[in-house]
Amino acid sequence: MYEYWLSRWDIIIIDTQFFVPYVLAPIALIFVVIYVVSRIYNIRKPLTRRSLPWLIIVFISILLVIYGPDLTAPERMGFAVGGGRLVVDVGWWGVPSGKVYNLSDCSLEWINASTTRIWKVGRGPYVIIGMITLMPQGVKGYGMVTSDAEWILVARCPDAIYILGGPGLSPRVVYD
Amino acid sequence: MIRFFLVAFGLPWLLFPVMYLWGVGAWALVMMFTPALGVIAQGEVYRPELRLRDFAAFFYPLAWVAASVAVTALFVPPSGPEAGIRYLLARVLNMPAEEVPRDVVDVIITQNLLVPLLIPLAMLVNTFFAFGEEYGWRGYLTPKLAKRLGWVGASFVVGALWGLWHAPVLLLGHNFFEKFWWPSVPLFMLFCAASSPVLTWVYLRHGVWGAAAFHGGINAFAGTYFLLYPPEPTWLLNPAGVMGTAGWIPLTLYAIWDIRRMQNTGRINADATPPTQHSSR
Repeated sequence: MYEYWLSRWDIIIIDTQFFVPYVLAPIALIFVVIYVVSRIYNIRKPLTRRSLPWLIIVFISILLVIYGPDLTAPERMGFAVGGGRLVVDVGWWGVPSGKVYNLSDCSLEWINASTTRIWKVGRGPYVIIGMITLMPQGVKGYGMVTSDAEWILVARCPDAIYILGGPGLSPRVVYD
Repeated sequence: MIRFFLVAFGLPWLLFPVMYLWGVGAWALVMMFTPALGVIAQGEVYRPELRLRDFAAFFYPLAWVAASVAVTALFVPPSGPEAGIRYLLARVLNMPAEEVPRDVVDVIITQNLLVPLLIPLAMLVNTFFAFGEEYGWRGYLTPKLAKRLGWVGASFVVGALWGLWHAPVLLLGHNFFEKFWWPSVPLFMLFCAASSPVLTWVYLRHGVWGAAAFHGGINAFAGTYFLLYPPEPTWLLNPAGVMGTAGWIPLTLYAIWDIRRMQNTGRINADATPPTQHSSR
């Protein structure tokens, strides 16, 4: 039996892992560089009282773009597979919630994550949730895959195709 | 000078928990500007002259790389590019060196062979970020201390401080690849102290931008050492380690000799900063 569940707070923390090094650091760098160069070379100060509200608006907009969708996330989301059942309970970015299937009703295919590239319409980067396409396999479906997943499960169930991956998920874990 | 030290040394330690939690990345570039921020906080802003010819100093560190390789060759035969690249990739990918795929190693070697094509870009980028440091270390602190200690003495003191300033990133694995490996700090203080007279010499000849170009050249070319030697042990076979420090010795001796000669001929003195560099404020 394998289970992978995330809370809304987990999602916010995951986004912070992206925000701090990849967004905040370059922004801080740009501000520091502009400040230092303008002070040394006496360039008209770009950080005046008039520009400050705009800078705050830009910063808040960036925060909203990154964290805004997180506020719409369900409190708990994830999936479980094994013990003869597949549970998909996400309810975000088009991935259904409260779906329970007998594994015998779904055909399962295991894809090694190193052999595929993920295209998504949804959220990322460390936890991808939404409409996922695996290339070059060309498999398309709704699901949830983490960046550290070694195996990706493609479950073709009667009413939908699910693409699922999480830390430690593997055929062995599911079938043992 | 107290505000300079508070800002130059304090801000990197404020960034330390952020870099520890979320990776060094671009924060290291922010950190490179803290000495310049220190000068601004101290209220002693000056305006270094920007001359294209001073950028030639970007290539001087090739002499240091050559000297480091030559010194190392006295003790260890070069092993070729594969071992060094395999070692570094294994560190980055967190896997055993022997499991790094051969194809990936070949691609990286090819990329390294193409590096000369990127030299103009590397020169601009590395020089610009190194400027943030050199504005503080060479352009501000060295002349200040030179008034009391002379240019050579000030160079060694500034070099040791400059090495110590790197402690937050060194403890996160910068240059020596091991997190919280404390000998990295004294080792890098030695490295910086050994190289500092050369940077002072470049500063006296080419100004702050020249020193920045030279510093940028060190950052740009240091990695070429790994094309001949894998950094094992990291304290020894490493451009930032003992062999890299030893590589500075001939250049440092020349720099000290020439700085003293310039002083003796009156071209500089310990009480003065080069007027062309500090003339505008």
